[in-house]
Amino acid sequence: MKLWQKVFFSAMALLLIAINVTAGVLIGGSYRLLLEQEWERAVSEHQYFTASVKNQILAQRLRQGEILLKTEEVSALLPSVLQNPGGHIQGMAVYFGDKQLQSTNADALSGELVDAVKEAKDSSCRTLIQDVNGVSYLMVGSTVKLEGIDYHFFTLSDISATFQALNRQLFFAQVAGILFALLIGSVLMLIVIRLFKPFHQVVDGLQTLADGDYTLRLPETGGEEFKLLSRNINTMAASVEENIGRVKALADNRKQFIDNLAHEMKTPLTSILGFADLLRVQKNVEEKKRQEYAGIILEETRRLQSLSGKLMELITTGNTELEMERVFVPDLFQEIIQTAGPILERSGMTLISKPADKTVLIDRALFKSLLYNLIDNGMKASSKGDKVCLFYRDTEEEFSVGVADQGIGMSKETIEKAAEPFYMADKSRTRKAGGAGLGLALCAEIARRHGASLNIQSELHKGSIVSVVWKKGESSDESQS
Amino acid sequence: MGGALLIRILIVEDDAHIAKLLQATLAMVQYESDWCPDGQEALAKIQGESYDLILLDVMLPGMDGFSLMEQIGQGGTPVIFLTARQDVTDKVHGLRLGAEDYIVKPFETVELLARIEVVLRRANKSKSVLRYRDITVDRQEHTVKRGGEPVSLTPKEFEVLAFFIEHQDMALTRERLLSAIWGYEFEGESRTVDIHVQQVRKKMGLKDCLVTIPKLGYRLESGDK
Repeated sequence: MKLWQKVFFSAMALLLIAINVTAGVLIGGSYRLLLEQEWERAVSEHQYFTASVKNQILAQRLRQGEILLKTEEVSALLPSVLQNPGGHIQGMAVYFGDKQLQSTNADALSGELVDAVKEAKDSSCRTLIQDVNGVSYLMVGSTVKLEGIDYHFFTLSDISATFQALNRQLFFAQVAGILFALLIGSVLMLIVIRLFKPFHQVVDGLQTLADGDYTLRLPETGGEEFKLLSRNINTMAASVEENIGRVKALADNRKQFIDNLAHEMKTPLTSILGFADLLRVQKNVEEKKRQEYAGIILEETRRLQSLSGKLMELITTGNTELEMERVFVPDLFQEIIQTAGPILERSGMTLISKPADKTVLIDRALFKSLLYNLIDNGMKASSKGDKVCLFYRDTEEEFSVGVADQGIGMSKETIEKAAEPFYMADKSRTRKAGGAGLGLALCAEIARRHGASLNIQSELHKGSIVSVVWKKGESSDESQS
Repeated sequence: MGGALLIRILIVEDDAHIAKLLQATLAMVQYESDWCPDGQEALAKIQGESYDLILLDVMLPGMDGFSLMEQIGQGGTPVIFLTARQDVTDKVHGLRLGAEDYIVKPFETVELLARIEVVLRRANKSKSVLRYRDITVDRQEHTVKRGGEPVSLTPKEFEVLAFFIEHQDMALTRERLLSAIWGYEFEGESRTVDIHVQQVRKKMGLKDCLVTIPKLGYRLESGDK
């Protein structure tokens, strides 16, 4: 059974019990009152009747002028005095000892009452209510002394009408009770449904959420509890939606990565396989073409090699334990210039450095590979005579190590995507240089492992500044002088 | 070869090496080809000139292959998608757009040519009469004549002969012949191929020209070079 049904039915049951008990108590009270009145009336009529009999006997005695009338005389006199009892009395009987002297409409008289009156030594009234042949009789009996001798007088009155009235009342109370209950029931139903409306909203809302629609927000209506409940559900839905979004973005990212990776691997493979196949299936290949095809195969193989190398680096960078050590920045820069300087010189460029007397907490080998990558990028963007600068910078909020060049720079759109794996601003140029579009993604990963972020500033035709930035106070890698 | 019909194919591919590979491959069977590395540019070219077939890469700068396909519309020039994307949904998407075929990179040279041939034949653009020395093969009438005299070949032998004439001077592996003539699903033995090749050789008198290349397959030599 649903909750609202439980609430409705229990309220309804309690209400019905209350109505019935009230009606029962009221009707019971009025029944007792009516019965008492009937009883009092019957008793007083009985007393009146016996008193009038006494009076008539007394009058007869005075008329005859005797001290006491004889028993026979009384018995003879009785039929004449018992003519008309009057009032509500419908029947009467008189007993002298066991002998019934007189009886009118007294067939219903109970022997039980007769015995009770005979046994009683006083002259008080005895009563009994008994149903005979579908008629309710109220019987009254008492012992009356007539001329020194005990006579037993009984009167009967019909009180069926009183009981009928009572039954009518009961019937009316039942009908009224049912109608009243129906009325109250409908009102109660409306109230319960109204009170439960926000509850149903919440239930429906939760069902929608369970079905996977996390965008749903419940209206915060209804009572205080419902408002609170709705608010909490909304908060929950919001956080679920946010997390689902994050998971989805991650999955999309991964799919994008794999799509790109497949593309980047299959493109050189297609050339290698295709040209090798051409060399194989053709009968005669010109020497010039043979050399060209072999050249392409070699080039594309190198591209694949570089891709797999970078990919391995990217994977291992994410997983290997870093060996952190404090490195004096001028020493670090010196090491890099020794290795990379001559390479730049060969292309007619210069590598300069602007260190500071600080130390940084880094994995020496990994961080150096990051810087080589950045210098390599700077070199590829520059032309003969340009300078590439390795620098350390310290401001109030952060400190950074980076590479600046005076090369071709990047557009805004390119800067945003530059660190995404496989992104290439200029595909043909990148490929010619043997790149796979993974360099900056790798750098960003290394920076992340150092608790820093990769920052790219660039302007087309003016150059780029790419740096690894540590926020001060956020990490333990803070530099020391 | 008596190629009265000149087939022109547009290659839309952003990778220069792959484009060069496609051009070299197409040149082997005397197809003429144009190369276009950019989607937008390709659209202009397709609208300006007439091509018999378009080889279309999906990942392109300017406009991707699917969008380009939508622009070209169905029923025009037949299109074969050439792509590194192996997703089934991509393949379905490509074919639903009206492409004739969907070839996943990397591909084999002869397979590519065979699939191009199928598409061209479907579009009624390939040569219906093939000639090789004194042999004439009529694809439409399904007849083979040698020096004017009709020769009786089984349907498979007919296909084998036609395939060799279409790919002269190229080494054809048994697997390639199997998949081109018996279908990709056919997992028969390469013995089947050998028997048919021997039959064709005997019936058409190609003992000297249809040569066996050890460890590779067969080759029909044109004798031009």
